[in-house]
Amino acid sequence: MILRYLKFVFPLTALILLVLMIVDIELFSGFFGYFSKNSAPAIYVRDHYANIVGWHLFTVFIASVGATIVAVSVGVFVTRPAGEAFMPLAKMLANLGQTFPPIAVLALCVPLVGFGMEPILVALFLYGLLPIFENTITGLQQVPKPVLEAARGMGLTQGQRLFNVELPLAMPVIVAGIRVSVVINIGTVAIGSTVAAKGLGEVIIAGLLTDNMAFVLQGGIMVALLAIVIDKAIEIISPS
Amino acid sequence: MSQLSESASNLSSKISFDKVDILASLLLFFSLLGLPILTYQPNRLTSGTGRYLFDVFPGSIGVLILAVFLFFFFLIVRRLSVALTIGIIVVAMVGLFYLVGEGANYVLPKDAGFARVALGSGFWVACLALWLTFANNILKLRASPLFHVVVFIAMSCLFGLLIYVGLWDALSLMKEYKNELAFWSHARRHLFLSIASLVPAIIVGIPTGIWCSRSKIIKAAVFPVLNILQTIPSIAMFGILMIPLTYIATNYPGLGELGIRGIGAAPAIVALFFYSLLPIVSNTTVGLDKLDATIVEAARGMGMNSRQRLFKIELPLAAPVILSGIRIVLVQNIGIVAVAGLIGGGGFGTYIFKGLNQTATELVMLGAIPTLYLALFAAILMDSIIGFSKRKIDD
Repeated sequence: MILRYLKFVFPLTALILLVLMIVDIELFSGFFGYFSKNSAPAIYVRDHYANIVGWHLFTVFIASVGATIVAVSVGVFVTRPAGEAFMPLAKMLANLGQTFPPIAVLALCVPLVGFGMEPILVALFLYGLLPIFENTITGLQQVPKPVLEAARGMGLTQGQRLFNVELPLAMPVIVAGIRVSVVINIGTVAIGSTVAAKGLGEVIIAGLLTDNMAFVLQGGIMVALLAIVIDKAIEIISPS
Repeated sequence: MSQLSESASNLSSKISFDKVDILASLLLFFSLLGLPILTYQPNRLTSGTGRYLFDVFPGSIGVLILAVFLFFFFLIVRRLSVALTIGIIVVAMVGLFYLVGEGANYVLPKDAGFARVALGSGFWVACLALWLTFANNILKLRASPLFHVVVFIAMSCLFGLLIYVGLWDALSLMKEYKNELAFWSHARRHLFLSIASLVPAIIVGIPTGIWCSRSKIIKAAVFPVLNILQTIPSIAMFGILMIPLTYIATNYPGLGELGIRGIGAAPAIVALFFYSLLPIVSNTTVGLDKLDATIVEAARGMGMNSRQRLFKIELPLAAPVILSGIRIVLVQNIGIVAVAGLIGGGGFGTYIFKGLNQTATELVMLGAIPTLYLALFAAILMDSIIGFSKRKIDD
C-alpha cells in the first residue's frame, strides 16, 4: 500500500517543483541564494527557463526520434530472412554505440558539424540506439510462433503481419527501450553545452565558469526533475 | 524457367557471397576514390583543404587502386577460409596506414613551416569499412570471448608498433602527441580515476543489492535515490560535489593536503562512485531475484545455512549479471572521467577541452581517440570475463 502510494507521490512532487521552477524561479531565490558567494546572482536570468527547458527537451526529442526510427527499422530488418546475415554485426555495432563515451563523440563531431546543437544530437543518437535496438529484437522474437502461423493462415501478407501483428505485440517492449534511452539522454544532453548547445547544461556551465554553485544546482536539479517526470510520463502512456 | 532459377541457385551456393563484406568493400572503394584521404592545413588552427588519393599519389595511383580493389575482390568472392580472409583484411589495414603516413610526406612541402597534414574523411571511412569486414569475419569464427581480447591486444600491438616506428610522424596527430609531454601521465590518471571509484562502489553496491533482493521496503527506498543520482548530469554532479569537498578542505586542512579538494581528483572519484552504484546494485538485485527458486530450495534441503547459500550458490549463479553491471560501470566511468577534464581532474578530457577551446581538431582527437580506445578495451575485456563466468555455471 505504502509502496503504491510512494510510486505516484514522488513523480507528482517532482512535476509540481519543476513547473514552479519553470514558471517562476524567483520563488526559490532564497534557497539558491544560500549557495551563491560574494553577492553573485542566485538566479540564472540570461534566458527564461521555459525556453531553456524547451531547448533541452527538443534536443532529446529529435535525437530520440532519430534513434527510434533507425533502431526499430534495423531491428525489423535483421529479424527478416533477408537481413539475418546482418544480425551479429548489427548487434555488435549497437553495443559499440553505447561503448563510445558521449563526450568523445561530441568532441569528434565538432570539426564535422560545428558548434551548437548538432554535435550533441549525433552523440545522443548513437548513445540512444542500443536500448531501443535490443528491445526491438527481443520484442519481435518473443511474438509466439502460433500467432504468426495463424496470421499467415488468415492470408495476411508479410507487410500486414509486420504492422498488424508483430509490431503491436512487440510494442510494450520497444517502448520500454525508448523510455530507457530517453531518460539516459535527458541527463547526457547537458554535456552538449560544453560545445554551445542550448539547454539546462548552459546554466550548469555558466555556474562552473563563474564559480557560482547556485547556477550549477539549479541546472542539475532541474535536469533530475525532468528525468523523473518524463520517465513517469512515458510509463503512464506506454501500452501494456 | 525452373531450370534457370535452379542453375542460379546452384551458382549462388557455389560462390556464396557475404552481404556485409560486399557492402564494406564497396564502401572502401568509394571512400578511397570519392573522399579526401588527407587534409592540408596551412597552419594548426585553420580547417584544411581535402587531398584525394589522386592528388597525393599521381601516376602510380592506378596501380595502387587496382591492387586494393583486387584484394577486396578476393574478399567478396568468399571461397577463401575465414582465417585467410582475416589475414587479407589485416594486410589491407596495414596498407591503408602506410598509405596515409607516406602520403603525408608527399603532401607536406619541404619548408613546411606551420603547415600540417591531417587524416581526411576518406581515411576514416576506409578504416570503418575495413573494420566492418574484419569484425564480420571475426564474429564468424564463433571463438571464445578470450579470443576477442587476444585479437584486440594483437591488433593494438601491431598498429601501435607501426606508429611507434614513425610511420605517422608526418601527420598532425603525431605532432600534437609529441608536443604533449604529459600524455602518458594523463593516460595513467585516466585509468586510475576510472578504476579507483569502482572498488568502493563494488564494496558498497553488492551488499546493498543483496539487501534489496531480501526486502521490498529497502528496495523501494534505495532505488529511487539511486535513480535520481544517475539522472544528474556529470557536469552538474562535479559542480555540486565542490560544495561539500571545498568545505572539508577549508575546515580540515589535513584532509585537504591528502588531496580532498573541491577541484581535481576528489570530486571526480566521488561523482563516479555515485554513478557506479545504480548499475551494480540493480544488477545484483536482478541477478539474485531471477535465480531458479528450486536450486535455492535444494541448497536449503542439503542443510546449508543462509550464509552458505548466499556465497556458495546464489552469488556464483548471479555472477554473470553482477559482472555485466560492473561492465556498464567501467565503460561509463571511462567516458565520465573525460568530462572531469573540465574541472581539472586530468585524464584525456584535458586534451578534449583544451582542443575545443583552441579549435584545434587534432588535439581534440588526441584526447577523444584514446578515450574511445580505453572504453572499447574495457568492454571487450569485461565481455570476456562475463563469458567465462557463464561458462563456469554451465559446467
